[in-house]
Amino acid sequence: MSELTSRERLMAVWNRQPVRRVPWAPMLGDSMLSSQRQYWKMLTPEQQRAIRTSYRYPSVVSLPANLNFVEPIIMKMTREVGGDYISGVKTIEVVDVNVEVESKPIDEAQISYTFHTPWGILNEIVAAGDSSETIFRVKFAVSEMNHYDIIGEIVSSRSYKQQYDSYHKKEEILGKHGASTVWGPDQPLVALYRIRDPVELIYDFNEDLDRMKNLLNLLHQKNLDAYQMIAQGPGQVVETGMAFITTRLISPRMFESFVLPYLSEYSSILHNAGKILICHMCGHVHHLLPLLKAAGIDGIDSLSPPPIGDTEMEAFWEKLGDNAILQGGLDVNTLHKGTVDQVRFHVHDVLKRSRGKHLILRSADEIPYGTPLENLKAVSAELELFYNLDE
Amino acid sequence: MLTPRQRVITAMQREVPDRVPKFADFSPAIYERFLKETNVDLQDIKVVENKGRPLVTFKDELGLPDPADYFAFDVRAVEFGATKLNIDFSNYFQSQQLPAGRYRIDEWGIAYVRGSEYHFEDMVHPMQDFTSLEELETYPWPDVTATYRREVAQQNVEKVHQKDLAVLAWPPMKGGTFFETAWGLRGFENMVFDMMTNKDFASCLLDKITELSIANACFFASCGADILLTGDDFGMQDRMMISPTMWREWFKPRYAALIAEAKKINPDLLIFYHSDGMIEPIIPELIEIGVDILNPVQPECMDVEKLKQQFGDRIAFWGTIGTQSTLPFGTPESIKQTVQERVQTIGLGGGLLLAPTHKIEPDVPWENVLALFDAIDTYGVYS
Repeated sequence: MSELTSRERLMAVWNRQPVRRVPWAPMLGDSMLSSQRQYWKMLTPEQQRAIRTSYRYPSVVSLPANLNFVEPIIMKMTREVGGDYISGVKTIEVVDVNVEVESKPIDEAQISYTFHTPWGILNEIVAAGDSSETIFRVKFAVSEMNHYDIIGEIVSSRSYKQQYDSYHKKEEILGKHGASTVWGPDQPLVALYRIRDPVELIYDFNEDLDRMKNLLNLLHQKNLDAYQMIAQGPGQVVETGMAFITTRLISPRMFESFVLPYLSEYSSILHNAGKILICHMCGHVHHLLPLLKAAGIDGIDSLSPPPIGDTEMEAFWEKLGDNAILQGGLDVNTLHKGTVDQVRFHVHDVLKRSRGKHLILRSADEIPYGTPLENLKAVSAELELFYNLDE
Repeated sequence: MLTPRQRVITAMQREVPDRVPKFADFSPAIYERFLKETNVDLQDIKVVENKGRPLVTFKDELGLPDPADYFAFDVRAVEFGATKLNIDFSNYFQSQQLPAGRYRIDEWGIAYVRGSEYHFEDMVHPMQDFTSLEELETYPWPDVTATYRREVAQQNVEKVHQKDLAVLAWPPMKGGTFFETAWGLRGFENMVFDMMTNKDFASCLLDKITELSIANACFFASCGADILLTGDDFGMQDRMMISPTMWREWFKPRYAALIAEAKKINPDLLIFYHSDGMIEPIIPELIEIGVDILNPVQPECMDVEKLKQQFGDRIAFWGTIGTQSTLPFGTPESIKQTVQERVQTIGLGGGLLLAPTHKIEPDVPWENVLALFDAIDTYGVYS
């Protein structure tokens, strides 16, 4: 078998074709970038500030973030460690014409966002550290039940615009060194977790189930428009954000009632257009696997092994079937804190356990700030050795 | 000087006794420590413990010393006699494999799988896969209202009273009164979801449990018990597990009915309500429906002094010595200081029984256990 380019290797797995060696797609983000001096200094101070501000994004609407300058540097870093680059791209733009966003920094870590709408005002405060892309919501946009009415109006008046060109531009940048996935909108329940304190959200379901179901249905109807538009556009692999969909936060029965019916529809729309659907889920998913299978998804991105997650890859394939695509499997703690030998041992173990399966070796989730590049290079070295020994 | 029984009743009626009464519950591991400290040879006892029951629950059968006597607690818990039924619940666990040799099944049919940490167990729920009311109706319910079991409780109430101690009547439910029994049978997730989307099932299950609970509350009210234990854990560390609205819809009316029925028989019966964690939003309503005593009042979850100021004229406090903070991480000195503060603030004008807010677990140094009871004896005296 001739050597494949990064792009060919990734596409082969997504097409469920055999590969000589599985792709290795480290999830390198801005926080890892900011910890690597030689790469970080390639950016101007304004660009560095722009990256840090982008961690503190609002949840009610999307704000345009022009961070295109980051991509070539992350790609360079990925190539240096011998990785295959996956990049997300949005082929539709969300248009919320009735929302005016006022942002006001509170201090170095926090930003207050006020959303002015014809139906009322919402406010949220978000925080993030310089070395973390994890956003902390200090104050959620929805702090009382009637705020959902404002959210409902925002969603009702929302529309989507094609931006298929962005996909082609992205592909041009990536060339043979990587491949893109198209980002679909959040699942309706995920959208609610972003705007409401998780415990209060559960209370809301306790107290006014009809209102919550109506809101989910509204979000779903809009999502259907979005997924139809995505289905008609370029790109073969669609990812949907399923942050918060972890059994640390929701139960399988909640998933069955409030996620599964919607997810199944998005999955069908994409399959009918010849695309596949990968769910980004980095939490505890073991007890959701049969339901994810029922939803017809094609794979999971960032499947976290124990102890961060609760799902070993054997369980993943047992429940989702051998045809399922797994993007993940590598423990971030080992990558971050382990020695080169420990990393190689871990990679060897993962590869041994996943022979013949559709795997994109990937960290679960993002590579932590300050991870030694030597450890990431060790993943590539072990990959080569493992498959060379095979031959 | 008051008798222990008078002391407890006086304090819990929010009047000033001679001194602050005390109580505690020992976990098996800390009970073993107690036995060692009181020079009991543990050699033979281990054999019995291997049968799967925690040692602390059958100390009387073996004639072992009781920490309640040793430390002179003012209250004794009185329970029903053990069931004579031996129901085979294996049909209810066909979809779930129970690990051989590592589980037990209680009289409700709930399986407990032994964990790796001390006495902690995982529950497996016999009604987890139920889909119909018929399954609920044909379920082999335990004989928790049986006369032969009540007779044991009646005799024990009399024995405790003969010693001038107060009786805390402990009905034979699964943990709590309604919620914990229901979710123990059904599973937590299923039960909460049933209350939202499968209301007939949830009602039917809770109605059955309510019927049994009220019957036993009435029995204890009629047999001379001083305090009736009720409650369910609804609190998490900073909020409630279910919304206060859901509590009002599903549980408040049931507690209200139980308390009303029991007080109809014995108006002097003191109603003790237990919930770990933060339950501040429902305290006014607990008072409204007739709860007299709040337990355990975790200081890590609620501001105890604020509660005293807000509700101290209408409810008494039982507990307040934190097992998440004061007992495991304090020193004998800091424990003494905490006891003094509690007596001076929460005990002001009566209304306080000092106790740890949970079983004393093995993370509590033995010297802290001794310091706690010593401090209550020393500083708990009303002048």
